[in-house]
Amino acid sequence: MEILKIAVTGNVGAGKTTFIRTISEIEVVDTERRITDEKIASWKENTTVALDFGRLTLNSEQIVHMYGTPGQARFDFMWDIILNKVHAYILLVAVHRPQDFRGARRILTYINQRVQIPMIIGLTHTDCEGAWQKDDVILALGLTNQNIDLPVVDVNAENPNSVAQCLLTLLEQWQPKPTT
Amino acid sequence: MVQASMLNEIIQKFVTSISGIEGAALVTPDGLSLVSVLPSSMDEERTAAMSAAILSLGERIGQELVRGLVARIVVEGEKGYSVMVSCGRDAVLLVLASKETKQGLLFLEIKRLVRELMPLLG
Amino acid sequence: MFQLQLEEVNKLFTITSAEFKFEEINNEPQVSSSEKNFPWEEMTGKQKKATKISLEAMRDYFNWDYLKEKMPFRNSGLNKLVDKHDFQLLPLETYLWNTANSNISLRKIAQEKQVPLEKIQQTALSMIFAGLLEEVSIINMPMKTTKYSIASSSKSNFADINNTNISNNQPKISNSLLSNLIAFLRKHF
Ligand SMILES: Nc1nc2c(ncn2[C@@H]2O[C@H](COP(=O)(O)OP(=O)(O)O)[C@@H](O)[C@H]2O)c(=O)[nH]1
Ligand SMILES: [Mg+2]
Repeated sequence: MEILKIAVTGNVGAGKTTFIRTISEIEVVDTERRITDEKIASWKENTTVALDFGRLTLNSEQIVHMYGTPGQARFDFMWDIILNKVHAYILLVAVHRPQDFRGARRILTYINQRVQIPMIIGLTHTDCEGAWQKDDVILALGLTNQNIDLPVVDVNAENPNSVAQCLLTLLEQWQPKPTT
Repeated sequence: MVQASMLNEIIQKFVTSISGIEGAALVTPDGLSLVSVLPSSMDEERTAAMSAAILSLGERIGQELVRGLVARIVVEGEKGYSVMVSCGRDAVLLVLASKETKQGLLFLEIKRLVRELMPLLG
Repeated sequence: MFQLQLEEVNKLFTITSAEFKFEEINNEPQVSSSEKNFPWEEMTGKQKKATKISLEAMRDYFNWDYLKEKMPFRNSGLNKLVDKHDFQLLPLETYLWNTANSNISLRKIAQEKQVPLEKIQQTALSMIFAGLLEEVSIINMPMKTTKYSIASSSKSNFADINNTNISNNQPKISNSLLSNLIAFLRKHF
């Protein structure tokens, strides 16, 4: 049995749980809890406290696991646990919440200091009011000054086609490119 | 929380009066610290998040594997126990105890503490 | 004169919500339209780097409440963003600079230095704003062994992303799985 493990990370409300729920063939095993932090509770009801888990079965020998991490910094020990067990990473960034860009940047640095695995940045909530333009987000995440050649794609976590497209772009990160 | 000082007092008393108890903390189910009396080497913020994470995983396991409601989660280490119990809908209790503590007694004391805390948590 | 002007600039740091626009003066002979509006008469000809001004201004910045959201986390560490600098650092700033890159959390630094954690966070933030340090997460997991130092890594940091050489302890994924997944995604979505 061969398992491809992909982690989905990002700030609270970026769309991690939704992303996994949209593509998973099983009902996502979630560990959501009601948010008590007043500032966040004003716009979000639940939050993941351990991990979300989703699955895709390709055939009897090959499956894909997807793990969603909690968003808040206090759960960074979960990133550690997950980071060591995955083959690829998706970082979701809600582009209508610029106050979270710093957190996203922090996660990016964190991952990068520890592993070199295929990675992609998915920009969510591009359809929302106050959404930043892609180029500006790239700048805010510090991707330009580090000369990072990391794919950045728009993704709507609620839309299966869009999520699939995001995964396809992630798969292009493997070299040599798998035959199509 | 409404009764923060009272909660604090009760937890403080629990930790100091019962031998073998090395610390205790009350955290929200999403991992924020409410009250904590922990050894200074431990970070209250991260401890709170960890307690919430493991309790939620334990409860998921209880559900998935049809073990019913989860009474407690115990992590037994070389140097002692960490026990996590749900304390009503709004809180999770974490208790740290030394290796020498008698398990049965420990669980009993924790049960008593939860009963005392519950009404204050509303 | 320049000092007086700087004091005015420093006061700008107490504004709680504003957007600033910086314009570069180019050295070309033609004057661009926006440069026509520069207050040339008030300019002294002296210069100071914006990052230096920001560090100095933030030392006197009292209203840290407004920057709460930006504060580095207590469990974070600090890494150097540059190898060296020509800032005149205060003692605590020097201490943070010297302990950077060594995987120590702000919380530990506060304990060791016996300085309130908030003070450490504020000092770290002003140095982050000045482009000297960056906030990094430090947890127990070992860092990958890097050939380059963090401070000079800005270019090479992400360079090997396309490398199939996965550095965590996961077995390599077969091309067969990858192509099957691609086919699956194309077919079903
Ligand atoms: N409009 C819009 N809403 C989205 C998008 N992605 C996720 N959402 C919504 O954002 C909310 C937060 O998503 P969730 O998956 O809980 O975020 P998490 O905290 O990262 O797990 C949910 O109500 C989603 O339906 C998107 O691209 N556009
Ligand atoms: Mg979630």
